[in-house]
Amino acid sequence: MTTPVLELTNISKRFGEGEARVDALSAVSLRVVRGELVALIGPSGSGKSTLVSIAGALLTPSEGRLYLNGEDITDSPGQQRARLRLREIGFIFQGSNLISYLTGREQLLFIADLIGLPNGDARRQAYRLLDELGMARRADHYPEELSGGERQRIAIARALMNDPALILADEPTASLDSRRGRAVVELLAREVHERDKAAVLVTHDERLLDLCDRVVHIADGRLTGMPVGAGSAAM
Amino acid sequence: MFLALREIRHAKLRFALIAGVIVLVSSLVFILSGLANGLSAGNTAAIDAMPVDGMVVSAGSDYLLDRSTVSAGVAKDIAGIDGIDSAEPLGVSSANITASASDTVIGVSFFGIVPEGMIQPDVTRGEGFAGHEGGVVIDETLTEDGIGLGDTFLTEPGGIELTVVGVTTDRTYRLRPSIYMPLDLWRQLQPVQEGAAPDAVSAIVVRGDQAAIDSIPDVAPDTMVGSTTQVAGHIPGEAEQNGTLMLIQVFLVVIAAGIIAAFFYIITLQKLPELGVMKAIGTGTGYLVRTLIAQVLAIAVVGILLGISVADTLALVIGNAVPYSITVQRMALFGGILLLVAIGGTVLSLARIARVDPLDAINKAG
Ligand SMILES: Nc1ncnc2c1ncn2[C@@H]1O[C@H](COP(=O)(O)OP(=O)(O)OP(=O)(O)O)[C@@H](O)[C@H]1O
Ligand SMILES: [Mg+2]
Repeated sequence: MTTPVLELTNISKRFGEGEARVDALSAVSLRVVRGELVALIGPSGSGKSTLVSIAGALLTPSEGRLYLNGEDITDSPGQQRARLRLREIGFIFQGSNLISYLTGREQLLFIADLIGLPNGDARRQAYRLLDELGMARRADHYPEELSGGERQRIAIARALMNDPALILADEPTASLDSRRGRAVVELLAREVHERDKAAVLVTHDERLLDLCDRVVHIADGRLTGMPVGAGSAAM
Repeated sequence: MFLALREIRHAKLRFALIAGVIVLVSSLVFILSGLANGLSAGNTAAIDAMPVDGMVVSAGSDYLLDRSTVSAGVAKDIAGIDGIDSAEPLGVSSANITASASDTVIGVSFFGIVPEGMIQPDVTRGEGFAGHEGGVVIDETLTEDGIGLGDTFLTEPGGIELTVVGVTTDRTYRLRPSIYMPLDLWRQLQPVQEGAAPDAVSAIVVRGDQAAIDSIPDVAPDTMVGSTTQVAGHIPGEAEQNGTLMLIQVFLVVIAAGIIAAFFYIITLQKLPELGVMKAIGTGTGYLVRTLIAQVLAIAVVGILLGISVADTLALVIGNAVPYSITVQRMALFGGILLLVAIGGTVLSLARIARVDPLDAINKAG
């Protein structure tokens, strides 16, 4: 049995105290392995973003443990979390995702600068990713000159630039029409499978579920439907 | 600095505007500094240039040479004090002269000095007045009024015709050119005053050790001593003028800090969502801080260098109409202050950057 890339065990997250207390997540357990694209679907306010934030080391859980590549990072200090996010995780957010004053190519080179990749390698890798995502010809445009779908394709390329173990995408298709949204998720699925990444995709759109390897339903901060880990070929 | 210059390049107009404001403010600082320096030199250069350790003036004169009268004979008593190397009488007075060639009247300062004495100025053209009956050495600035080597002029008071035999530089006093002449001649030119001692001069200049200089009033009654700096500082208007110009410069520096602080703070506020995304994907606060400081440095250095060239060009255009003089050291000093102030102005923005929560990238997305 391979070590899962991401493992959440009995994660709970509470916001606020007393009357104002919100149980965003209650005893959530989830494992995601290499080469697996997991869809997380559920109504608004069900805790999807909270789960992704905890999985992405952006938020600490109230209870439970978080493992990345088998290592317990639940209590890691802030600076180490930033390092983990930079080295091990690729994020794709809903919107305002790209840096406005960098061209598509520079969005990727920025990541290379952060992780200290040599210039030549960085340029080659950026070109390869942009090419794979069909953005090579639009690479030198600024975000404001790109369509929503093109922007999200750049965002996928950026999330892959650090060659992460885990990809987290919180509603990356929310601002796209369904055809373009599907195209973006198709690309994401292809990259995840070809590059053997573990990925979690938060979505509202049931029509995208067929592109994913496994679907996890969430309601009121609890995972429902498929049992944890079921349906994963690698398990 | 991957981000710093790319952001400036993308928002050229914005950054050009703030650099433009820094150019204006810094050139104003440099111009004022040059003006303050020039005005002060015009006021005090002749005093500053005297290689003496102390000046003896009359007790009630408040170090104003024009108001001070001392008997020249006292110089001998002072010279006798242990520790005093030399003491010489000095006469200073305001006067007008009329150029013989052109009838123009010019305000000047007369300096009556001991020939070949301590404060005999070096001549840059012509020669000293020794051996020239009625010959004087003038400050260079007088040549701009049309009086040069070999020219003659009529004194008022005195009504005596004198001839320029030598020219010296940087010897202005109270914004007027100085004219150096033998003490005897100077005394002839003074209006007769009721009750004044026949050998009255303005001051005794001395060289010697400080303790001996401080003891002079014990030997010479009704006198007090001060350094040339003290005497220069008591020239009417000198302290006020320096204070006013310094105050304006301090205000300008504060304004520059305020403008830079506001500009970068507003830009930072506009970028908060982006900064959230950057932190979410693992950008450290230190990286973002370095980026901002690099931007401020780039903008401030360009602005200050252009400010210096604007000030210099303006000084060239104005020419000698106003006294303007600035040294490389002063430029470096004010440039350095402006640079520090610019970096200080980013503290607010840096604090805001440090507070950005990477979680905002998810919660406030879209
Ligand atoms: N910082 C917070 N403080 C207080 N409550 C919060 C906070 N963040 C989230 N919540 C609450 O936790 C619950 C889950 O929120 P979350 O953002 O995870 O939902 P979501 O499934 O992503 O919803 P959506 O589909 O609308 O994005 C919600 O009731 C929300 O109001
Ligand atoms: Mg959400």
